[in-house]
Amino acid sequence: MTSAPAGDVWVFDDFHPGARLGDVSIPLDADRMTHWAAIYGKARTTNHVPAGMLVAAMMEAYLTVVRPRPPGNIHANQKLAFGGTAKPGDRLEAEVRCLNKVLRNERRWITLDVRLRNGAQDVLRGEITTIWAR
Amino acid sequence: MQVDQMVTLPKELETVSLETGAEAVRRYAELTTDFNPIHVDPEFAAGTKFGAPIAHGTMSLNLIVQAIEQTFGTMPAGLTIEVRFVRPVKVGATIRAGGTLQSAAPGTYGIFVETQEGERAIEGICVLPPHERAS
Repeated sequence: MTSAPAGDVWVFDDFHPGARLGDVSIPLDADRMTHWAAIYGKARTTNHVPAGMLVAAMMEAYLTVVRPRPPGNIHANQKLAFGGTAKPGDRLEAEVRCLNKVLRNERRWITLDVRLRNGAQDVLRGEITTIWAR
Repeated sequence: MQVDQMVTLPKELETVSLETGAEAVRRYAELTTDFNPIHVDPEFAAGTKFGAPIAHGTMSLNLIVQAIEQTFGTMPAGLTIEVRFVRPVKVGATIRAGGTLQSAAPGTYGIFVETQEGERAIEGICVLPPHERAS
């Protein structure tokens, strides 16, 4: 399930605080593990998913649900709350919501809440605050 | 996993570094599906206020996450992070992440990512869950 913008891209008016924007499923598969290892080095053990991969999955969830986006958005602030772990091969379920939107000093601030679950466990909650371009 | 609550918290997080080369940034774009041209297209980026491609913000943020995991041996459940992206990191820059204990009770670290020149790219705090805090 994903929402859609009224126009060609997601603009400030499309966001409604409290609204669920969409869900996405993200497998922690071999491709993702390989990309991670190429950037940051191999995980400590073969049964370990680095916590940063959960952060990457949070971004993937947001970017998959909220698209297309206008060029020029600025990722300004980030909150993270870690709740658990994952193993290679696990499938994360992500839920993306609009938490808040504020027009301040002619800047459009959007805060999105991404909740990542691994089975019954909440593994990461992230609040992404972006200065939206339009 | 929990860190022994009787263990005194280290004064500093382990420092980790990363070279944000174009290939690493391309890989991070693949990982997150974020192919914003400001990150991966030098020609496009040359026409922006940055003048050159910049690394994804969370690519740098993950270095802090890595520093925390290396320091405690795992990511403590209940740990929270709050940061501001204060300055972009140009693709090709070498960055390092770390943190300094600000308060043992609650266990709070001032955390950062900075360039080799000492320019801060990310600043914020991380707070350990209650069972991780030093007595």
